[in-house]
Amino acid sequence: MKHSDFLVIGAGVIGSAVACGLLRKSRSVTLLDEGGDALRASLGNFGLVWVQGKGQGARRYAEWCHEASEVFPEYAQKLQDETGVDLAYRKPGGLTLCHGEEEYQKRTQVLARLKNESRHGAYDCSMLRRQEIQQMLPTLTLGPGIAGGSYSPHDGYLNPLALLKALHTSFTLGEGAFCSGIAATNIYHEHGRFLVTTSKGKFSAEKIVLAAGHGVARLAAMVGMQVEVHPEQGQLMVTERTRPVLSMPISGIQQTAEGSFIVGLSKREIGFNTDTDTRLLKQMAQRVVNAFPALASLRIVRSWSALRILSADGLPIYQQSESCPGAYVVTSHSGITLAPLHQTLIADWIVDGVQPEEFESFGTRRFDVEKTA
Amino acid sequence: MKSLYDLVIIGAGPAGLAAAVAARDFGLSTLVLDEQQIPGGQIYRSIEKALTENTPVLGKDYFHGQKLVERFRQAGADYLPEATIWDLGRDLIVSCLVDNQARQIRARHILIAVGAMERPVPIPGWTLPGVMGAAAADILFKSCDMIPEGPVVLAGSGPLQLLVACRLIDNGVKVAGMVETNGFGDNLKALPHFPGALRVPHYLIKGLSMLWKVRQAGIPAFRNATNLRVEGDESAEALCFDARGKAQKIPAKTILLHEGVVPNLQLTRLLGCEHQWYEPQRYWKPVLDSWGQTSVNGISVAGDAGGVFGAKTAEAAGHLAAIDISSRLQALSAQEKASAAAPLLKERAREMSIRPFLDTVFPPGRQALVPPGNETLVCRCEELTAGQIREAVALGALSPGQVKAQTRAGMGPCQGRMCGLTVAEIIAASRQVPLAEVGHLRVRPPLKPITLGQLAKLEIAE
Amino acid sequence: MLKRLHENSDRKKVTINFEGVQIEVLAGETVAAAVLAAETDYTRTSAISGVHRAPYCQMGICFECLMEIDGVPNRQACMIEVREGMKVNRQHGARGLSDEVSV
Repeated sequence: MKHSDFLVIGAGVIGSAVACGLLRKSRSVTLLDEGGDALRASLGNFGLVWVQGKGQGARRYAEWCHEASEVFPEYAQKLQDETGVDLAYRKPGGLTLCHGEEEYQKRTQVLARLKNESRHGAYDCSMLRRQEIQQMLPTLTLGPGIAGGSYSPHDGYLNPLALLKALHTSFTLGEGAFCSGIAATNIYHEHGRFLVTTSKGKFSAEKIVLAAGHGVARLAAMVGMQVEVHPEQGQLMVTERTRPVLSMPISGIQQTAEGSFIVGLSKREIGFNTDTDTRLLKQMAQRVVNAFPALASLRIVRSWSALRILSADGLPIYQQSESCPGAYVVTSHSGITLAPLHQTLIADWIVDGVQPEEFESFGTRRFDVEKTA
Repeated sequence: MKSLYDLVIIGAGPAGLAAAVAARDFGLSTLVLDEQQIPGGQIYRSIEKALTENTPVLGKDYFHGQKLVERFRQAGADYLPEATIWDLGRDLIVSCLVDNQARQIRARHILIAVGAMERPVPIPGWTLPGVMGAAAADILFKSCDMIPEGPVVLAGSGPLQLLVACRLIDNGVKVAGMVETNGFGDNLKALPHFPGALRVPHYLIKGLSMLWKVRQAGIPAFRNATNLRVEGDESAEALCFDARGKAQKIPAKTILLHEGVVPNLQLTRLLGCEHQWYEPQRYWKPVLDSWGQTSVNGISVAGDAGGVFGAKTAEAAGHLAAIDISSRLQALSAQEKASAAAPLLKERAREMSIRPFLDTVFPPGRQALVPPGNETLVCRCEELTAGQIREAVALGALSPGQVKAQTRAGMGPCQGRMCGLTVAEIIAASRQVPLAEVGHLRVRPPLKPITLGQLAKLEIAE
Repeated sequence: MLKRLHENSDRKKVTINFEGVQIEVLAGETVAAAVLAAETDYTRTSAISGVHRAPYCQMGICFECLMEIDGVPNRQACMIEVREGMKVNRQHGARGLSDEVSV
């Protein structure tokens, strides 16, 4: 049996970032990766480090994303220097395009609400008219149907696969124990310690972190926590490599460092199904062509779908078990954006119990309030 | 053109054509979709355009396809050439690209008859201009009346290599060497299968006469060759290898590589059909019942796409699949089905009896399966080496999907067609587990690229 | 890299433009074959390292034959037959986007 101070279950972007954070405080961290058949939201996503539009009615979450974006440049640089993995992180600001006047008005209202809710009205995102956006994107002509959009200087993007690879590399360099191809089956809390049975033997630890994405609810129940998450499918498409023409990420369209365009911005709830739907892909293609007619000639080489891990209100869940102290749940749909905070503040909370400000916003108690209300 | 057919056949090679002719006999509305300009598949490629000058070299087996194509042309099946399939769903909707337009066609049943492809042969230097598959040279001869510039070296293993050597000799091309990665040991292993092969003596006679021709031509021949690599600066200049206990080098302008053919699985993988591992030739093939039905309702496979057995077997299998589909669609009674199938089942069994022998005599060379060195390029599109694949495995990647996420292997335009098998073999070898445990890349639409504009204008089939 | 076996067969002659030079080819040939029969051995430079590449499979699998045909980049030249007046160029690395911006 392998014993460690900390055992993290789930080696996606969230589990890996937390595990790397724990390594700063302890030499004894084990990270379990289910591998093969895991649903791996970390591998299917769009790679935005994104602030704008997030956190309506949830001020603390909007701030949390903003804090992450503030420290992201330094975080990315450090991780890159340490591992030699190019994250292709850029922070040129980001755009959300509005197709038609109606979308423009709606977006204006969303931003007004976020600004209202923010402390001292500090929310930093502005509505731009079509002409202004065109000036920001000098190499690509906007389609006639674009009325305008919103711009935030805090947004950026990276290669999510590179981020995951860098985290795994960093964890291994830091002499963490990375165990791939191992699925946790049961968790027992005995004499203040945790015993985890897996597909390949037993593990024990003083503290455990559950960051197993869609598998988190099942594991959390074993340590006396009720956590509910559900899958929301998002579809993406990637095109052939193209010489650089789009230097700014747009919600739904970005050009990667390799030159491919990635297109995606769909939502559907169909359970644990990762098949793509041609009707939705067509709608996505239509929106791209409407936004930038020149992109119509780009060849799509692949489409895929991935499953977002959403809590009931879409916000992260950070919670320690009350009945089995030392067991923690860390789950969020914003695993990329929040990586620097997961690696620092969340890891520190797990090690020392120091809670970030207004931390109850992210605890499971908030759902009890909703239920009784 | 209709929007709904009883049967949509994908591929116009021997299996697809035979199926179309039979399906029309039983009264099914039938559509054949094919990527080429004219019917025949790769084996009977361009048969309607074959030059009379080439008749002797093309040979009798090739012209067998002529009658089949004629019967197909008269059968009254709808035929859409130059159609690229980019999606196929379990709802039996085929998405294709024709005349630069994306469209969808519905079917009551689908027959996949997309044939096989040459196994990629990743050796150092195989991406240099001047290096091609042996089958590629054969395609150029049939479709374009062209041959590669000599001197030519053929390297690898497989009956097709022999056939191509003979075509080159017949066309007066200088063949500077036949470098085989198989050897006498494989002959010995195949001995137990020899009696089975005797059921179809004409194949053995053809094989022997080809061997005789190569020997008569005085071509330097090597067996059990290892450590193959192509040398050259901007294009191929020589094939280097070890054989007869020493390093060899044969200068050449063209190097033709061949290590057998493997089923084309893009469609059956996309559909999530059940597959099985075929050890003698180390490839995956879909699990089929004796009629070609897959594990997915409404989807059948005939011909080499279901396991490589050659053109005659494919033709019988196509015919059998059409009989089965007709009976499923109530165009045929159980009695009629049995009597129509009986002679074909016999014919197919007889045709297949050569395979255990051939598959054992010509196993894919070890070097082509798992490149021993780290410098060999494995993913041609993303330019990734065997060493980079091994690094990803060392970092914890267990499957081709995880290697892909770490390295980009399989993300390029070919979508893993060229590197998928090799990546899986490297993982299996590095982890020392059976290949079947490693799995395979997930295939996703579009199978062939379509533009955002074409997709945006797609009319969705209701 | 390739040779025609019967230059004087009764197939129609077709003129295409390859890299700015008019070349005479035969009807029914694929673009990939026609180009390789014209004193060249490569059809594209790779998107990452820029090395010369040539068709490997001749049947639409390997995507090594990508060329710019009649102004359309990244087309599979082994799957397309030559046509009179066709303009063919090598695909040099990643494609570009032609977009006139009028702000």
